[in-house]
Amino acid sequence: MTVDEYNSAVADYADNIYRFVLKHLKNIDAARDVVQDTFEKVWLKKENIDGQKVKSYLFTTAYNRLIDVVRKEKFQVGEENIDYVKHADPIKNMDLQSILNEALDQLPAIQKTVILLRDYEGYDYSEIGNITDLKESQVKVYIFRGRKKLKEILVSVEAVLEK
Amino acid sequence: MIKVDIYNYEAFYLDYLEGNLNAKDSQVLLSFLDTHPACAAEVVDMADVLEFELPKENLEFEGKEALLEPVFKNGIDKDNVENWLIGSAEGLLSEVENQKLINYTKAHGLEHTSSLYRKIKLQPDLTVVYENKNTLLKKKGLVLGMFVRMLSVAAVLALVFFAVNWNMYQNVPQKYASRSLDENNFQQIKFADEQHKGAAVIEKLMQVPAQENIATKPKTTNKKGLKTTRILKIERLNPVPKLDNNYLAYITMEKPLPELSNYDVLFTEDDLAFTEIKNTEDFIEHDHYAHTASKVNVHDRYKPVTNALSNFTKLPVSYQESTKDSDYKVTKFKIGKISFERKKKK
Repeated sequence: MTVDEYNSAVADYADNIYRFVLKHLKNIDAARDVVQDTFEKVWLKKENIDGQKVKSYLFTTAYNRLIDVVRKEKFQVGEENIDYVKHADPIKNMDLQSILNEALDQLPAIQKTVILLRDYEGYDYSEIGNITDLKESQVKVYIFRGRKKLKEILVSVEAVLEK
Repeated sequence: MIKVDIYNYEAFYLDYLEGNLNAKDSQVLLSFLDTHPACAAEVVDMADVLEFELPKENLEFEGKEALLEPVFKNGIDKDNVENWLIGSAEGLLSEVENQKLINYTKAHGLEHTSSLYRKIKLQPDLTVVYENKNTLLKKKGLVLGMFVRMLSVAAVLALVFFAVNWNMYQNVPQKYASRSLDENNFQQIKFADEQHKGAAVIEKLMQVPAQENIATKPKTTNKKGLKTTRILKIERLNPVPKLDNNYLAYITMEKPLPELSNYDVLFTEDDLAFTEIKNTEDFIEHDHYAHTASKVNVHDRYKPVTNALSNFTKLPVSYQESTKDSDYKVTKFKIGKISFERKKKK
């Protein structure tokens, strides 16, 4: 990967990776650190990276770093770590995306990861499998389970609204 | 053969019960138990323990369906319709399968569920951006890399300088103890080497009009296109070894003098430089020079080399020798901002 390709990757994917990581960590500083580490690692290995496949490499690195942060540093997503402005509005004032984002946080981390990679980045099951080190069939199962759970939450929200 | 004691008899007894002891070891163990009734009493119930098994339970994992990878080969029913709906939203169904699903949902009043699944598509919030992208960008080439490259070039040039020019110029000038020029444009080169010590080559430098053919050979043309003549003359100081014309030719060819076109060209910064002009006694004995002799000491004999290097690298190049140190002769070579120093014991 050339310097130009690397810099293009920064311009093209830094935001995507940041959003992906922030969705998991809910902490701006921690998410920035992961993005920083991710690009630093990619830069160090630039000689071995195909410039055309850098996006996948970046997400794989970011995902692994994310796992490290959560597991090794025992990062806890507690209220004190949440930088998001949680929607204080009643459900009736929330749009579908807001409800889905709230619902997303109720999913297990792996389901959340695969759905984010699928919806945000448009990766297919095979690519998600490569990033998360899962079999394609496992990815499919997690996505299906996650979607079912999200749908159940939507149904329950609708039930609240109808009352 | 095993050695049984009160600390290990239980372990051996278990082995015995499981049939892992041979006849000889079994006999040793049984003899031990015969002589140790308290131990024998402890192991009486062990055979029962071996036969104990946990009661089997009929627990079943009820979520096996959810673990299976969704497939759409079988028909749609109430148990798998949601998988079909998700598969449709995921774009995994063929046109025929989609039509089949639409018919099923209509027939079973599942249009709303179907629409919900189609809405479950997360959109990234594009207002959330990584604000420090500039800190991630890398510049082309590293300052360190450039420095290393410059250093490499300088090192190579320095090597060339020392390997080639050092030998060339270090040896030859030693023959010339001094070069002098008098007001009549006579240059004297004095020799320092043992063989020719005391000898001197006197050169007359003069410029003549091109049309005039009064000069003795060889003729040369200077940079300005003017014909110049070099008149060579050998003068001998006492005591002097014999200096013949062959030797003169030898000097000229091996160590060509700078272009002796005219006075100005000879002594410029592009050529051998001089810094000191003082009267000298060397010529006084000689009638021809006695009244006007002056001496030009060649100070920076590497000037042609450093200038050539400077022209080549487009960087200021200098070479200095210092003998201030009483024990060492210090030479300093500088190219651009990089300098090398060499200390040589006197």
